[in-house]
Amino acid sequence: MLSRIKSHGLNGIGGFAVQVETDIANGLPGFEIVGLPDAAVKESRERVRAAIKNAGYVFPAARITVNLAPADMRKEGAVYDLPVALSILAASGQLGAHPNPAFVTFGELGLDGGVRAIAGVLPMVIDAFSKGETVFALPEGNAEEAAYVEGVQILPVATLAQLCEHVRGDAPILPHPTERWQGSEQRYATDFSEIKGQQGAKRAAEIAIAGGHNILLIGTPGAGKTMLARAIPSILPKLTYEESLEITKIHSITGATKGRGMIRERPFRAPHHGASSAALVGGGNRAMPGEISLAHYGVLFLDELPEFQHGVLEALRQPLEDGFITVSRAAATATYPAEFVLVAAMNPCPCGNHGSKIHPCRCAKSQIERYRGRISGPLLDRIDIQIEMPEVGFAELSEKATGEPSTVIRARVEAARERQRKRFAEDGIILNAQMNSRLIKRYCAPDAASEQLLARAYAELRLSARAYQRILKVARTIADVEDTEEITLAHYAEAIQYRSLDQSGREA
Amino acid sequence: MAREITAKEEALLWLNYATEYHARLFQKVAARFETVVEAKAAFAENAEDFSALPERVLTRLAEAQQSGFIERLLERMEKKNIQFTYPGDGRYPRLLQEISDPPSVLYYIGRIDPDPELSLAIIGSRHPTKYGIEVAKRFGYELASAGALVVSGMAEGVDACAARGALDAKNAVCPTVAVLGCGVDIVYPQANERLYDEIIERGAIVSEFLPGTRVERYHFPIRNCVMSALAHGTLVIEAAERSGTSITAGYAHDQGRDVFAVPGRIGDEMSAGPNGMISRGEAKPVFSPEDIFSEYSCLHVPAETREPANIVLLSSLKEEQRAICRLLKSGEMSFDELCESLTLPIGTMNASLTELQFSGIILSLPGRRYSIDSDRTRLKDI
Repeated sequence: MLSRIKSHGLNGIGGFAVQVETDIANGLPGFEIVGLPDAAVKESRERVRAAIKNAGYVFPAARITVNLAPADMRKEGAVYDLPVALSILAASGQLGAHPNPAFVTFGELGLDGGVRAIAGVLPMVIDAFSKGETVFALPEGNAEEAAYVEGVQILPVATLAQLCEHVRGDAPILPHPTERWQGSEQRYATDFSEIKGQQGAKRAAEIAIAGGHNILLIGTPGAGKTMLARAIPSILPKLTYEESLEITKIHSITGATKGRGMIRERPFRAPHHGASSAALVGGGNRAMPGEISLAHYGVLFLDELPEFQHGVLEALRQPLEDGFITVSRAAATATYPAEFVLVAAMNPCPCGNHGSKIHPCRCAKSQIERYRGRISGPLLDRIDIQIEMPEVGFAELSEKATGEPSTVIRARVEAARERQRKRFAEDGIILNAQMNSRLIKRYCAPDAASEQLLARAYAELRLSARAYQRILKVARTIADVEDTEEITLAHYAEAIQYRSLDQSGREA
Repeated sequence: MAREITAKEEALLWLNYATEYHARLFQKVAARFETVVEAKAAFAENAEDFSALPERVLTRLAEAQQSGFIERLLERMEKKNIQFTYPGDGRYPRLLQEISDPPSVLYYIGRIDPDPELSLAIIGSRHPTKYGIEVAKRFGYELASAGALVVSGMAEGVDACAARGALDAKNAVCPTVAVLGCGVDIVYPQANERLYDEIIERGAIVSEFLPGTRVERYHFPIRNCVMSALAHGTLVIEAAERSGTSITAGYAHDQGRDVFAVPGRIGDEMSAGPNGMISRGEAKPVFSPEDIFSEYSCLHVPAETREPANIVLLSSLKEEQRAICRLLKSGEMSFDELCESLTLPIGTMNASLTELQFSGIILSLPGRRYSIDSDRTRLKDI
């Protein structure tokens, strides 16, 4: 007898339909899985055998052949335990008259017949849904995240026996209620009002998030670079449903969403500076997403930027420009989105005290140059805002007066982003940082007086043409934050302040 | 312009090549054989007589004895415009000759004034504050303008600033001499390459180390000794309590030369050196270049003070810019301190700073600090 069970496979954040076919024939008892299975899939033979037995069914003593079609796509992981078990039971006639149920199913089996949650459920459901499937039988632990997809029916499965009873019609499984998008919920450790002093840097962070500009914080140890970076989640604008779905898809692939449902906050990723380039941009033989994709629609924080390996930093250049990354490996190729705001922090020199009044710097000029040289010009060019954070004196640390709370700043950020969305409605972008030179020309035309100031800055700071464009973009965002359409001289002048490294380059 | 060298000079270079910077050893060997020429002859005849010398010196003596060695050495020096002089030579600095064991050969590039009317060594920290930088530049400039020779070590910081200030005195003929702790043909620190070229053009780079000698840590005390010996007095600007600067000042004392120090703010790390010397009576406090001139009363040229090109009336500035300038007049401040003292919106603050910066009124310093650009601008309160 022959059975067919529908399942699904994953490739990047896209997927492909998989048919699990089983044939049971007379002959020497045996169990073979074909159709490009990897090691984890092959191991499923043992799990399936034990699960069927412990669920109270009979594992047929016959020659069993399971085929995962299409046969030319590689199948990975323990995803197919459940469909394979179901398929064997159907083929051996233990599921009654319906050997080919209408739902799509995937899940990992325990030896006791229990069903375990797996990684990558959301992207698979979304992909299968787009290919016309509407009913899914999934591990209970994955049901919540999948139930956010509008229009699908999710059957949460706790055990193999439960699903068999459902198929036979003895005890139908109640569909998981459709989950409602409950809105964004940003958690954060530090509020902006808790940061003492550093008014200038706080403002720069606000502008960076409002316009999607990458930002580099330069300051002596203890100036509060890391603290400021960690407070940034508190001013990130609220997530929309579509953004949340996209983020959850990526995180689902790594298995981070098991039992958690949708991700409702913008990600804040802070990999250590020992990270490899595969960890940062994605890789491994299964071409998994890296930190930059996990930071999609959120913030990627790189502390101690010059300590990262050179090659790792250079690998960031292309995704910073394109907003996506294609990870190619021998076994797999996948494209992941990677639209994030880069927040980087560094010391001004190897000893960290350059520019400090309290602890004089002991570094030779050449050492400082070498240290700063570890961040290449092309990468630096892609960071719109560079700001030095002065050291914080005791007076400021002990001061009581606190700045604006994060909620106030976030309201401004959201208003500024709304302005941008309206402005770029027909341009296919949503943030000032994404403007190309044609759009810059259209939306940031300086008046005569500003033109003069910019010309001086261009000459005195010896700016590159790219840096010049960055100033225009940042000025656009400053005007948006101040809620005006017109960019004034003051906005350009402020934007020039955010080219810290260009300025100190001149001084050195 | 190949220079004909005498037998004496050839013997000098021969012995100097072997003894390197060990001036006392050089003198001992020369004295044992009456003159260097005779020493060279004696070595050619019977090298056994020299067996008491260290191994390294012996091998180098033999090496330099090979025929054509000195010629090749001179050829290489000529290519790099390196000249040399020795005690007794007309071009050898008179002040240097006064010390107990002067360098047996002094190599130099540029022009040396062997007997300047007033020569002053300016020394100090490699990491001066903005105050130290300003003072070093000012003293360098005014001393050179008045015709004095400024001696420095061309190190980063105070040394380089003093040399820079001296070179800024356009009327001076020979404003500055830099003493290196390596061969004169090696630019150290590399960052001062432009300064090196300019010093050669208007003054001289000198060193007792053989051309091609690389920098070593232990060379600096030797170099410092030559620096203080080249000057009538040594001026200390900003130094930590214990540093190479105090060693140099010690040499100046031992050589019977004057030591001056510019007082600094109490409490600053970089003020501890000069203030300590003043309080211990090791150095005379100096408040302006005139104090040094009056000490020597040899130079009467009234030092012209450099007038900044840019005179700005405070009343001509925008209100918030005026407020910023008023604050900065009493010293540099960080962005945060400015924000706290003035309750301006951050945007306005940023914008004002940019405009002031590009009008040449203020200067942005590392660590997001700002100060009045006193080199370029003088503020007037009307």
